[in-house]
Amino acid sequence: MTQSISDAGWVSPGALLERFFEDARQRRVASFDVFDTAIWRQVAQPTHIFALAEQALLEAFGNDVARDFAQARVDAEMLARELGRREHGHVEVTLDEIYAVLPRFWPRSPAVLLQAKQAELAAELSHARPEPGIQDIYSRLKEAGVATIFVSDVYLGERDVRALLVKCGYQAGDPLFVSSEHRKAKWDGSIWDLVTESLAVPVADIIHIGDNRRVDVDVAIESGLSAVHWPGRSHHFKFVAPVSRSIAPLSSLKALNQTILEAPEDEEVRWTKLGRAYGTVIFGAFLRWLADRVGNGDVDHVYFCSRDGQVLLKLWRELIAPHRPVPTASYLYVSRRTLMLPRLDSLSTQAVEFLRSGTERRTVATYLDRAGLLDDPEAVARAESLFGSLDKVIETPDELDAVQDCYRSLARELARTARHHREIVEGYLRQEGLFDGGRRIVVDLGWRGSLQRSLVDHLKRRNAPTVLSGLYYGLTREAGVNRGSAGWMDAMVSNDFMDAATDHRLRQMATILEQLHSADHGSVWSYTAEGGRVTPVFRANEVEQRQYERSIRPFQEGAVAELRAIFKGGHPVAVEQLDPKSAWAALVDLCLYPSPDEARALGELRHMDGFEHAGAGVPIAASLPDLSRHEAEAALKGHTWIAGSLKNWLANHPGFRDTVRDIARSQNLDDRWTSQFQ
Amino acid sequence: MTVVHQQGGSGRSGPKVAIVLRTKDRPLLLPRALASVLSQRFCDWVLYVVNDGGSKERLDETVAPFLAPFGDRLRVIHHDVSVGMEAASNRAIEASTSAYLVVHDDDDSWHPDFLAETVAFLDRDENARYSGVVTWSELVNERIEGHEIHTVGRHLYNAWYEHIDVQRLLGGNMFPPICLLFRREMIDRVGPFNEGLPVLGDWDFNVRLVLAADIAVIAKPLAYYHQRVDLISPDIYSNSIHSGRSAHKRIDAEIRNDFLRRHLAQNPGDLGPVAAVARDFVRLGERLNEVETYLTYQSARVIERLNQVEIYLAHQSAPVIGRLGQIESLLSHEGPLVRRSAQLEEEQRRVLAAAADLAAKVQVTHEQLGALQADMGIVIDVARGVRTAFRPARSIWRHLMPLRRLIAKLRRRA
Repeated sequence: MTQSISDAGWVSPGALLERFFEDARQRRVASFDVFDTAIWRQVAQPTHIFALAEQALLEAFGNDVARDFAQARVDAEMLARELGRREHGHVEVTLDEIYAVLPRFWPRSPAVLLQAKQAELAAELSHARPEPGIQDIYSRLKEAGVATIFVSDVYLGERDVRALLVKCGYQAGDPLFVSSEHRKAKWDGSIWDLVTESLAVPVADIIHIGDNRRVDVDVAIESGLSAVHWPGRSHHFKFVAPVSRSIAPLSSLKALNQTILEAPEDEEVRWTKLGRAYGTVIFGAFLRWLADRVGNGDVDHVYFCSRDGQVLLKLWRELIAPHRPVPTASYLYVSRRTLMLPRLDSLSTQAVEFLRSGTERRTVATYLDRAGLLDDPEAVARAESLFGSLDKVIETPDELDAVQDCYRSLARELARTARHHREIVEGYLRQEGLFDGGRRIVVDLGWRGSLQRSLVDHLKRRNAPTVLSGLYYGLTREAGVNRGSAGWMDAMVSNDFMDAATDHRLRQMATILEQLHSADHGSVWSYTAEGGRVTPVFRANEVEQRQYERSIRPFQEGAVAELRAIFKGGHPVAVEQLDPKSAWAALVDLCLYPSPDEARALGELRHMDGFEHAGAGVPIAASLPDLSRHEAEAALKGHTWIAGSLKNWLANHPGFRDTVRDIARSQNLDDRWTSQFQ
Repeated sequence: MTVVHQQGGSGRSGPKVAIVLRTKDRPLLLPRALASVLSQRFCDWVLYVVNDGGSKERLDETVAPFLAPFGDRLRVIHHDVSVGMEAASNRAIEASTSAYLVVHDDDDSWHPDFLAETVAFLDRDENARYSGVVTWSELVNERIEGHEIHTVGRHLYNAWYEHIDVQRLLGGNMFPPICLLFRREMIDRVGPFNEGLPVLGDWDFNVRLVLAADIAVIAKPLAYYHQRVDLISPDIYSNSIHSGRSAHKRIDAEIRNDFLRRHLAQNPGDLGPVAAVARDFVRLGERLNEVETYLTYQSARVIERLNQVEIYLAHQSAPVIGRLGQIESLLSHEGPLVRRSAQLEEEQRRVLAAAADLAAKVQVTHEQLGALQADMGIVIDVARGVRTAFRPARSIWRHLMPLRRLIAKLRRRA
């Protein structure tokens, strides 16, 4: 018998186990796979055990000794497997063989290597948990008098695996067959001869259950057994992604949210889980970093800038402000448009480029509206005389140049609207206390620091005594353009002084971070003054709002819920673990090494065009049909998330692996990143 | 001289690194340098900003937004009148007590790992023999537009040295100050920066440093050497290496003369061998000049000829490509009908084979051209390198002119 979810539509794990139980009762032996079946480990994937071991080594020996252990351990296992296969024809490697080659990647003394091995085994033991459904069936089979055995393909020795099983409540006397002990494995079926010989039972009298469809089911059936596919908790291990101890909090959070599904997962649940894992680490680390930066008493106020700061301010008020001496904080409604319009009086190249920016086709009326000139009769008359109609769609580069010429011919009108907007923006900023002096901080995602620069320009124009600084997730190398006049800008994960490769990675993260920090309101279009108060005027985009409700809201709510639990205490993840390095590790894991499911879900998020967030937008990851490399590269240009695009392409068209790999190689990222597309 | 900002005081004996930053009325560049220092992952440092005769008010205004993040790690030293770059460095070094020193020019910047890696290197017991350590650097070309600094290009700069050898460093400076962290005790051994040098004070110091003890190399580009590319004339934002090119040349010659003068004063007997070597160097230099000229001429001829070949091949291949296009068009429009025509298919194969043959020839020609150009480049580089190496000998030869005339006169009399 082979039974799995995909074979027969959705089958609940409970029903699956009942069938296994009934079938096993009619046979003599029930066989259990060990890892991710009989037991699960409270980490996102097996290699993260090495990250936990590295943490233990850090505490014992310090960073100079411990650093890079986790990645070296991964590399050593790959080498040991390769050597064993090539030189001895071994189907499995042993832990001792792995540690014998480890010094090639991690040169340490024999004593330290021994400690590392013990730390790894200790981490295995402390993070092993019984799988309740399997354990229940195991007990019932025992009561029914069915013999139970365990069969595992693993580098650990029999004694080590036995210790894990006993810790998880399984009986010590059950036969246990471990591939590293016998050099026979499930993956090639060779271990089943050993099993039948040892137990002296015909192979048809054994039924096996395990989580690996090919190894535990297909090969087992080919060997003459009956087999059941157990869905397990996680199906997408990222074996290529870098491993370091900074991955530990994300790993724990992912593991906590990897449950045996009782029903198919709906989209909202998937986004909530993503938020509970990635959002928790990313938001939590940034808030703690922020609190450290502003909590020394010399900051008078913190502005969380719209729209990316909304979720951060919510968390700040709930989790940080009540528990630490931090300055007051508020939400600042600003946007690129509201800060740029007051600068149009100079009609600088930068200003004109801003007005004509974007890739979607727009009407003449839209271009006037962008500049705040749609209500200006003179501007309307001039545009109509130049283009015939305000409804004309601007399509060609020549027409776009004509729009630019039109702007230049409207210099007087633009200066007028710039003055108007400057007054109203400054009125809003003054109302929010920005001109009151002291040291004030703006908080935003970052990238170029242009928002801070614009605010500083307003302050300088009015000789305001305020000293403004900015705290960000990241600053790209382009931020250097504003260093001379924006004031102090600091960033958590990467800044403009980093190397080109890191900068390239940050740009991939930026496109995801912008999406995950969206707010529940539209973009700030302007301000209106009524009753002595200046309030923001929004422009909402229906597509964007639907996206927020469907994906971003559950993501943010998942993160908020998990962070509440962590800050409350008693959570497997400690607050102190949420630091910039763990945030970087989480961002790398999500944005550069997405699983197929993550690439599909996040890749569908749409990037809206232009500063007014117009139109239906384009997905951040391309969904490429059958294309040549040249065509695919051209099609990729409209999409900002390269890793997601390539992952999706590979999932949908496996035959294009060579082309995907070639494009990946051309991205100037490292070999490790490229190898995920092999 | 006045020490203006000496805020707080942590009660410590002194931070591990003293960073010396000299500036004079460059309010657009200074914030980036301050941010570069503040962005270091290694935090046990103190920054000395030496305002060398610039506006005090403007500097205070520029530094103001950074006072809070600096905390007690900033000292600002104002000089009412400029004392020069090297003297400014010396004043800051005299005021500091740190074990390690580094000069961070106000227009340069660091990778956030610069101090972490260089300090960790010098801290290791096995590296105690080094006087300092340099990293590789990246040259950042930039342009100033209004209040913005625009990067126009960046590439690795002198990122080839894996060790600093005296001979090579004597030939010319190998690294800008932003790359070098050195031990404070070396100041006592080799003396401070030479305040008499308006430019090239860093090279003079580096030479003295490496003559005292080796300088190690971390082969990673952890420092950024910024240059304004469109400011040739003196300007507050220009690089001294650009705006003071003639001064660089003069000081370069004077420093070398001084080295030789001091050597010959102590070893007058070396004059003869030096003169003989100088004569050989000059002759070799002249010969290399001839070779370089010849190779440049031949290279130009070869390139011209290859251009002609390329044009000819392009001309020859145009009809083939055109014919291919027609066939492709026919195939796409007429599909099944055309494919039935055996003659056309045969013609298509022939044309494709001819095109492939032609493409292969073009490729071979291109590769030959590339190889030839690469070879020429190597020869020219070698020639230039030798010329550079012989420059001191030529200088000696020129300076020995009166002696040579005297010898010639004596020979004629004899």
